[in-house]
Amino acid sequence: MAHERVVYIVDDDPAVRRSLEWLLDAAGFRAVSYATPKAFLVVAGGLPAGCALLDVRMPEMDGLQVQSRLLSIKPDLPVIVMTGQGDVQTAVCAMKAGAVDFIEKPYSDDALIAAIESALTACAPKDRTGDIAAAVALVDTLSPRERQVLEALVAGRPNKVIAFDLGISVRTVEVHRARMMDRLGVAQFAEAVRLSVLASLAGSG
Amino acid sequence: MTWVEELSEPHELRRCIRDLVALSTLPAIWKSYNPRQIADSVAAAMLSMLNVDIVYISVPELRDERAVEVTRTRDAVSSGSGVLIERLLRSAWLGRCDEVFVIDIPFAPGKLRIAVTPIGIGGNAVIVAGSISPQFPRETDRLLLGIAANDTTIALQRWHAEAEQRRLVALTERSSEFVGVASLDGTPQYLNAAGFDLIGLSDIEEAQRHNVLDFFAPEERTRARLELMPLVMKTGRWLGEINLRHFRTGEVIPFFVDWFRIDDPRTGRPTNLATVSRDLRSQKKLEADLRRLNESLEQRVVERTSELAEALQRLTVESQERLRSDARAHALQLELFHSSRLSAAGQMAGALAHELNQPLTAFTNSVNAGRRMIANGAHCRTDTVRDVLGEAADQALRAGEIIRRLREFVTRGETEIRNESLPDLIRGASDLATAGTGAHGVQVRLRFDPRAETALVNRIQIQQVMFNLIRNAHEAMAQSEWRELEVATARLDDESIEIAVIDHGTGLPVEIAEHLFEPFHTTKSDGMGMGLSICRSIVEAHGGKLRYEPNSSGGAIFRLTLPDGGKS
Repeated sequence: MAHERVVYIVDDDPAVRRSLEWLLDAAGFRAVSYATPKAFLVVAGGLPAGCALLDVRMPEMDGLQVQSRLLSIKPDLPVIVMTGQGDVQTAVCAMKAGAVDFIEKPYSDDALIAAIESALTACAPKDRTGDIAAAVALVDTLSPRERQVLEALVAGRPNKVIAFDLGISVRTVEVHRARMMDRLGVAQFAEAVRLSVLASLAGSG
Repeated sequence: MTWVEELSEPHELRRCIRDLVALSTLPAIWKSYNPRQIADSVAAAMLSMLNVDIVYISVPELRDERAVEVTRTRDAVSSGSGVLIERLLRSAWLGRCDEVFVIDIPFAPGKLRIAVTPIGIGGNAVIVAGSISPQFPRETDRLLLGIAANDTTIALQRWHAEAEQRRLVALTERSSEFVGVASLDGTPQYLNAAGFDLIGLSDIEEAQRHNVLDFFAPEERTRARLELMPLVMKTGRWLGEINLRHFRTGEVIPFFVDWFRIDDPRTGRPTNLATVSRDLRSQKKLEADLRRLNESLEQRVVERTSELAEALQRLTVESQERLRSDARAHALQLELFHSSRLSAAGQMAGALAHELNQPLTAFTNSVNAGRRMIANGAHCRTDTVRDVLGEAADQALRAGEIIRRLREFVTRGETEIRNESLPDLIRGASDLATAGTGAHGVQVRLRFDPRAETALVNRIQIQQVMFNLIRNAHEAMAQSEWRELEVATARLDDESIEIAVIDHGTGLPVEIAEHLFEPFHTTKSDGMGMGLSICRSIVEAHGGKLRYEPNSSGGAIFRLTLPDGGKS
């Protein structure tokens, strides 16, 4: 084993931890799991390189708080945030705070592993430039209207509100949304959010 | 013998002159006499001067003066027969004027010679003189009678003129109007009592120390002197309102002034300026009072009108407000009901999502791990795979357990079950579900089977079910031509009754109908897909059934069976 690829799991649900360990182990990663954010943060400073998989919803301290603490303890550790279904706001916050990616529970093993692979390759939050450039290129292919719809969706607005704000029908919003997903080449809305957030980071570096 | 020859006798001449002088002094005495006194005086003078036995004077009624008859007789004629003679004379002289005639004397033998002399004031005014002397009337008698008649005429005329003047003066003096006469240069000559009083002068001497122009208020004097007075002189009259001034108090008094010129009727030349002017103060006050009254009345009418308008406005606003707030309250009530239902469902869905995410994630992870382990083959240990699969099964059960718990939570609530009146329950639910859907114009028909009056239910829960079903029916028919909703109760058998909700909406496609009561299946853009699932759970918790069947004439029928309440 030339290079050990370590994934640090932080989730309060033992069943999730156990199953993740099995899955990642079967996928060729070394999984180390922590039941509480505190347990992880205590040791985080001295951990070997890898990537962190943080659950957003935990008692005591949520994933975003762990992420911000981690930034001062071990800034070069890439973070993937696991969010609840449709929790776009949290995902956006996490991405802006430097998470390399987010993934919605429940996820397919392929999506998870792709995200981890990508995170380990990037290795550090600052090395997202390639992803960002790719995201910018994709988002640039959108029409102004499609981009408006994307931005509004990322801001967490329901279709009805977007329709009202843009002065178009809900049906038209749905059409724009579908076309936007198409152009970005994504099947899940979470991926569109990820691209949008990445693209928005282009200016700030 | 002519009367001139007679007068040639010195005695006769002297007597005649004496009589003439005496007669000429009489008018001066008559100055203050009335017609009767004048007539009496003439009669007395004729009797003493002439050789006559009786004098009768008649003055007819003249203007407002009564007729006068005076008879004087010499002593020779007995007073008792005087009246008789008077009557005799009165009838005898009629129609005879300026002539002499003879009548028989009623009281003595012989004839009475009568001379009739007219008095020149018109009518039958005459002096009738009678004598028993055969020489009567001599020329001197005629002469003196003529002069007496003349004097009487003048005296009577003067008396009448003076009476007229006295009346006029009385009228003028008693008038409440300002009456004044002045010379052409404006020197006051006469003011009536009201005139003195109104401008505060005490007598004509005081008045004559002023010019009539001084009577005007100071600010009017220039106009009066330069404009009005020349106008009166030129045209004869000026009429108009102008202010005079009270000399004592200085009060400025409005007058309606008639200022005119008096001309000499014979020469046509102006002789005086005069005025009859009315004090306008009381009139002005009346006018002002009236105006004020009018204004205050108008003001009050305006105020009252605006008060009424305001009140009306208030009422209108209030009633609109009330309508609006009624509508708001209604909408709110509906919203509340709906949102409590929605938020309960929303919270439930949120909780469900989170609760379910964990076991589902673990389940997915485990299954995928197992799949990969098997695929990896080489270092796959059977007991590990067994553990992994066991975990997956546990997590699937955990997810099922969560759903079961949620379902219990939904149907738990108020668990009191008792006999409830179905018509009341359904009406309540229908009213609530229909409220706010008025725009759809759905005709709702409730049909109650008298044999299915009650059911053993939890009222709140079944009402919630009915609300959902009726609301769904309303929404299904929003686009329909035939918008009729029927809710009917019926007895099925001894133990159960049925409630059917029948609409004429679009109905349900078969693929939807198959999963109708499964959670998260919805045909509504904003639906959660929980309603019918929960409804069925509730109904089943009551030991009943909820099922769907298509309406043969288009639309949907939901049938709800419940245990009969009558038996319990």
